[in-house]
Amino acid sequence: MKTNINQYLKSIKPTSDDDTNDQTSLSLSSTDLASHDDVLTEILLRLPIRSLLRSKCVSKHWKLLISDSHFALARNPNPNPPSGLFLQRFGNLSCPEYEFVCFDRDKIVKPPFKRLNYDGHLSNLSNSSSSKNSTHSGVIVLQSCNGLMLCYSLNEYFCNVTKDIEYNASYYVYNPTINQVVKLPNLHGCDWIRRRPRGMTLVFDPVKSGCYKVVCVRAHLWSDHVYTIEVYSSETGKWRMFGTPCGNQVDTEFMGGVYWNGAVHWVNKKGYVLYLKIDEDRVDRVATPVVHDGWNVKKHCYPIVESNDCLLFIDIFPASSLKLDIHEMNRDYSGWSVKYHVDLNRVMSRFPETDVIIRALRSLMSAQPFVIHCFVEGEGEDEAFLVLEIPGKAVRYNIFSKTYQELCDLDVSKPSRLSVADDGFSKLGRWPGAFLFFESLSNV
Amino acid sequence: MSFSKTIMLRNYDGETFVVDEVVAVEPQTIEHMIEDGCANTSIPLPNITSKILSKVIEHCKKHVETPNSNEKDAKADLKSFDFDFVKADQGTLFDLILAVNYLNIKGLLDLIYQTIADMIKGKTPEEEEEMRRVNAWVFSCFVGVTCLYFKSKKI
Repeated sequence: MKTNINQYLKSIKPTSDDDTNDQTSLSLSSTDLASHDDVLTEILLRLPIRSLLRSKCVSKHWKLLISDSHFALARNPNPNPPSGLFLQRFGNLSCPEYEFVCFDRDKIVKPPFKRLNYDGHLSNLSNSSSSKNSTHSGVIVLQSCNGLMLCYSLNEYFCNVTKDIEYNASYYVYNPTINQVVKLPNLHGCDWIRRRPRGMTLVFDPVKSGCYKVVCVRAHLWSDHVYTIEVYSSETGKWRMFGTPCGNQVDTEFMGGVYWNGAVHWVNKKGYVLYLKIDEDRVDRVATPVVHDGWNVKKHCYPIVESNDCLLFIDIFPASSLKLDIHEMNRDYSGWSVKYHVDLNRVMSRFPETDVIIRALRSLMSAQPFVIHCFVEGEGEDEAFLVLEIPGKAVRYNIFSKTYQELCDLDVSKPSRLSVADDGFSKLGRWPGAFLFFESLSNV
Repeated sequence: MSFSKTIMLRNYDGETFVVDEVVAVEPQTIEHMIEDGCANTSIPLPNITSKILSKVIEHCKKHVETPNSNEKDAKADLKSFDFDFVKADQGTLFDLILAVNYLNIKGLLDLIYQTIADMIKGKTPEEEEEMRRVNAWVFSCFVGVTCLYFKSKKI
């Protein structure tokens, strides 16, 4: 290092002219100062994630640079498509396992986590046995949004006063890329609000801001028709009550909120999408393109998803068919337009071996021999794909080219029985089901 | 007969380099200076040494001379040139960064940034000390230069 400095100093040795000397030295030092952070940032941006996380230990300055939200956005600029999927498996109900499916089958990626437990910090329990965690339940993923995940752990207890089991849960916001977690403060206890939320939704848009929000919908104790909405903001660190309680939403499924265009969207069985505009503090509704009688979130798929900054409605034709239509919502909520027609017959015909497995798992699987776990729309026009689970395999079906690729083998010994809906869809990232993984350096 | 316009670059050491305009405009900084009409006599580059400037010119020349075709040979040739170009010691590399950053030559900047990132990538925790020393080098340079300034002012 000393040699380097000497070499450097020699090369900038001052000339005999004093005036030139002063100016030169001045401009050199100011260049160093001004360009240092720029140069360092450019170099750090080109590092893979693992090296980047290790580099945080080099110095406080490096840590500050890497932890900055602008750096996170520069590292994974918008649009940031998901690179994989976590599938929830029920080997152990209180501490489920997650199987990771990478969308690029040529990449060998280490799964960010397999099981989660919270002991002050979230730890990845890929190798531990379930007996270790018998005292308290593991952490279960609720939802994923642009790189952050909303999780919870149950901690129900028997209350001597009410002589009943009281619902009690802790909620966490977790970034699996950097393994950082924060425990949310408890929701306000209130005599007339139910403790168990009807639904929790994570709202995170790294382009708009490095802060995230969590929307919690709870019903009133004496009336399922009246709901209160509370919003947590990571900026304030507090929950606040949103507007006035809203009513007549008994048929809205709050368990699967979808964030898009500054609003959280929920599907109502009666045939409309209810949405809450976060910054405008108002609730509004828009009709769905189709209405199915008897829709039930526990039995049927959750039809709305967000991908590549579009709100999409996935309509599966009569459940027994292998065709589906995907509609896109206009930005001003004026209506839907059909974006894709998908016919999965061709894919299914390529997997005759699934017949054997289907017969064996008949009691567990739904009427259809596959489950659709997610829909992803990439940046380019020809990059939209579905990820299907055909017993024993995860398959990627590319919508435009009408081709498919086997992504990986799946463990069939632990079926995701609860995640299979009657029409073959999983809950698309809601309880329980499939959760998209986005690489993101955003702090929680 | 066509003749290419030449540009004179005068660096810190007082040395002048004569380059074809087409090579000289590779660095965006120089391109802007020419557009603004500052290049009538020679372009001053007071903060770059001869050694570094000649390396930069060599790189610009090579990239300008190589035809912009999709031929495998041309691409492979350029790639191997780039590979050898960055096989310099750390001192030269860091000098290059500052110079190329000032001159704003995008292709070369990307190459050097990626080279240094590759040097950092894959370092074990034992080699973090090396990284700290590398980082300390930049600071010590700043300190060294400032000392030089004060020395010259005879403070």
